[in-house]
Amino acid sequence: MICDRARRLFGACWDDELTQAERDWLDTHFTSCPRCRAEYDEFSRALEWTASLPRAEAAPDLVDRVLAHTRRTAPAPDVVGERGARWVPAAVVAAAAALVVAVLFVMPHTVWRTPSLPNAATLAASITKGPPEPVMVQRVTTAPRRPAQHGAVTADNLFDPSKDVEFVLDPVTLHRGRATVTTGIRREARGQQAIITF
Amino acid sequence: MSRVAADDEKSFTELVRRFQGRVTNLVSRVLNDRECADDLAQEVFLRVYVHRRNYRHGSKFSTWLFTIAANLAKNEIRRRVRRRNWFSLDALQEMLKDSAIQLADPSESRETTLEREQLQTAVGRAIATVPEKYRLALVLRDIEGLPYEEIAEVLGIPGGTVRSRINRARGMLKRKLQPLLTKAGTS
Repeated sequence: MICDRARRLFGACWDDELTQAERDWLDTHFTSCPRCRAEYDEFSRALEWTASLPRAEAAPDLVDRVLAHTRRTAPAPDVVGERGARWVPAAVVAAAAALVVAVLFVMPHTVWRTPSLPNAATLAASITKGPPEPVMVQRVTTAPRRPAQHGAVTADNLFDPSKDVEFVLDPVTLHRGRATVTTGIRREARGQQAIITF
Repeated sequence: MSRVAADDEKSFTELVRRFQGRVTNLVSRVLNDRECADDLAQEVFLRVYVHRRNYRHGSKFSTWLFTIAANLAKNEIRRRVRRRNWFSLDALQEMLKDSAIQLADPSESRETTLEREQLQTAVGRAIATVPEKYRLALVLRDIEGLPYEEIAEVLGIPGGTVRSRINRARGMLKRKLQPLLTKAGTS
């Protein structure tokens, strides 16, 4: 048991990482245990041999060979580069501005909604068993506004409660918060329409 | 290194000159193949050049360099294992012979020179048969003399694991050299 403890200290002793107390203890043990003393001598001799192996010299033309290669080698992209301001091309800004204007113009007539409770019958017909299932996003368009016949429409109401509302259901897939038109959807699931009467 | 990153060829040449010996020695000791060590050392410096702008200035250059060298050496060992083309002991013996001649003491007798060469060959062989993950740590510590913390960075493992690997590698090496150690102890 004591010898095991002593042998565990051999590495640290060779690396000169023992505390003074550990060193004193090991020295005391060595005086009383010639076997551990001999073990340590062999251990340190093996490491001396390893450390004294002759060093392999580099090839004399290594520098020339490396330089010859580097002259036709491009540097890798800078991944540690500074995070500074990034310029956005003017065309992108203009396109974004145009999109905002277009959306503002179209908004009074068309409303885009995130997935809500779709027509149950339509969904039931469109849902297939195979994954992944597309998310049905409703594009809701109101019927052309006509003068109200049965009472006025309240200002905060998007629909004229006296009229039918046509839901055109386009199958799209939501991925990372972005909706994309899904291909490979069953034909009957595409362009489903439902008329809901209030 | 910042000058190298700024495409200063002179600085890069100086860098290669300064570190070529250490890199070649490391990979040749790990691989036991002198010719391959030259090619691998060249590859190490090419990678340094290609990725020169990705070097983080806060860290020690030699650590980064040894990390590249150790990774390439590991890849080479694994490639050889896959191809069942194990270590070229002939190449090792050739290398040790060359080195022995280089470093031979002129006053040394022929017998002593032969003994020393044999011993170096045996030690080289013993290192070559230590498993890769232990061998890399052993070479970095007991041949290249890197501190434990730097070895941990180079190998990308915790400091405790480095110590454990080095201890195990030293134990394995001692067992492999036991006949020679016993002989040396009695003579």
